[in-house]
Amino acid sequence: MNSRFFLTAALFVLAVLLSFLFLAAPHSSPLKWSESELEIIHSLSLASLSPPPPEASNHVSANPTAATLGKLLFSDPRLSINGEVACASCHRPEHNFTDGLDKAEAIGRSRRNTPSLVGIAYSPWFYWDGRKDSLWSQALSPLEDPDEQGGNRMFYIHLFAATPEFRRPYEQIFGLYPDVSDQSRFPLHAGPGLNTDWNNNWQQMRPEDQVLVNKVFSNIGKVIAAYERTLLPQPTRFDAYAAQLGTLDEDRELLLDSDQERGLRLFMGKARCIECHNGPLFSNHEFHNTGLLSYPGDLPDRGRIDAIPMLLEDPFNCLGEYSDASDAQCAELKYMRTGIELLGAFRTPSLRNLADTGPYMHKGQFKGLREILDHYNQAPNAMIGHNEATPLALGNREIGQLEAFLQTLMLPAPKRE
Amino acid sequence: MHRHHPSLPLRIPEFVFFFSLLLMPSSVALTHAADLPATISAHGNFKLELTPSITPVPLNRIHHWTLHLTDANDSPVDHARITVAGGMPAHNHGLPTAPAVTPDMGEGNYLIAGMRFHMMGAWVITLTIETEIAKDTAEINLTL
Repeated sequence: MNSRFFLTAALFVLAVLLSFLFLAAPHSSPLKWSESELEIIHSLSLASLSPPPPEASNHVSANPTAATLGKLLFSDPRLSINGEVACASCHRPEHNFTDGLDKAEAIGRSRRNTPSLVGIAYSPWFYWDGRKDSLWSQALSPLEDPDEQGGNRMFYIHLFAATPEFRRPYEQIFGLYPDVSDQSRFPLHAGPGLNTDWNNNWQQMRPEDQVLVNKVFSNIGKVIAAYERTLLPQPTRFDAYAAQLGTLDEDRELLLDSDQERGLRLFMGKARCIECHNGPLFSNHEFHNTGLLSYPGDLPDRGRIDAIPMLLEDPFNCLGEYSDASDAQCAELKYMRTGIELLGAFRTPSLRNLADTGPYMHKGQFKGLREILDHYNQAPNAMIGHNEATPLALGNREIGQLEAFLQTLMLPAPKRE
Repeated sequence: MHRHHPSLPLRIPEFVFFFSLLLMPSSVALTHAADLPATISAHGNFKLELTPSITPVPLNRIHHWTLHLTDANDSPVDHARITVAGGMPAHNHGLPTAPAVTPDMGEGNYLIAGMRFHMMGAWVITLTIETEIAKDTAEINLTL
């Protein structure tokens, strides 16, 4: 009799406790953060982001004249074989430097999604697979990619020679522009690549002329990079909230509501987002296989593992002759890893660029945040390689809270009164 | 300002909060490895004193460590062949870089170049040390 009474009483108390767990607790606001949680929140805040490190391989990376010329070049469609495509055609400023498409479309259609450029200066690797190790070296690729700007390096060298608004600032930055008027030495079109005529022209050029052309070509990349380096993230509502937490005024209305706060706690804890989306840019700039489905009609993308040999062979890499870095400044390239873990792995994108940048993922597989969160919650087996993520067992409400938190990274910080 | 919590129901959310703290995964704990303690290799052949070039060991920044290697008699060990491996056991993945150990700099000192850690949590760094006399491994535990 007694034991039944106690059992009933214990069940009743348990029921009360559980009802508070599921009903009362989620509505109680604000959350109380532990010291270690506060430390992590501040580590995510933009306040802990230092100015972008100088790009050692690009001696003009912090040169204002270079940045001004780079901005001009970034938006100028003359930097394409058909005169219609600029960097900004896909990296559209009004779309947070993306294009709103699954995969980029320029002269042709690219293999992958256009990533945002905001905060890109902090990454040691570029492209979804990190096949470039500097911003300037990356900037050269679309110029010669037949699906993007479609030109060849000799075409751009002649374009600069003939365009005073490019040539003048170039000479201010790098000194006298080389004389490329002799077309027997410097054909109108030449460059390594798939175009047979251009490639033949290139192969027939004298090695020292090839070096001269590569030098000017790499300088063009360096001025574009100097501009891209200035594209920095702006404070968000989350950053303003993080600053609020530093000042203890418990009665003040906090900038994150209850769901957003709980989403932040999930982000740092149960949902494990922070493992890769860490630091003030919400990215570890590393490569992970997270079991993304391939794009309809595409074979699974091998990702990072195929980028390693490309990096090592790239004449425009950090250790190459067009780089301004010393060997010691090329640590990322020198101590680059390879291995089967990198099969199907892609670079962690920053979460500071979520606004206006969908569709998301390396082939635009997901249209919205909810789909992404559902994917990580389920953590399906990878099509190739191994999915590093494991199922999260998040409930619908928790997914909603995570989404609410991510929204705070899209909202500007409120202006101070 | 003292906040008044007169009745039981108002205390329960706090109880739930602290209770939930106990349940939270360890990844929330952000402990800094300021100085790494000296490590003795598995079979006691070597003592390793490691000094990161940046302390506390940073997240997402490539840097180097120096290693001072001594034997069981505290004598410096030169000319050892040393390899570095490691990763996060909880995540079943390795290091994000391929660190390399420079040839010895004399007096038992070595440079481990290319260290970078890209996630918070528990890391294990395994050094394999081989000399004419002994081969041994040492595990360094590091929590970021």
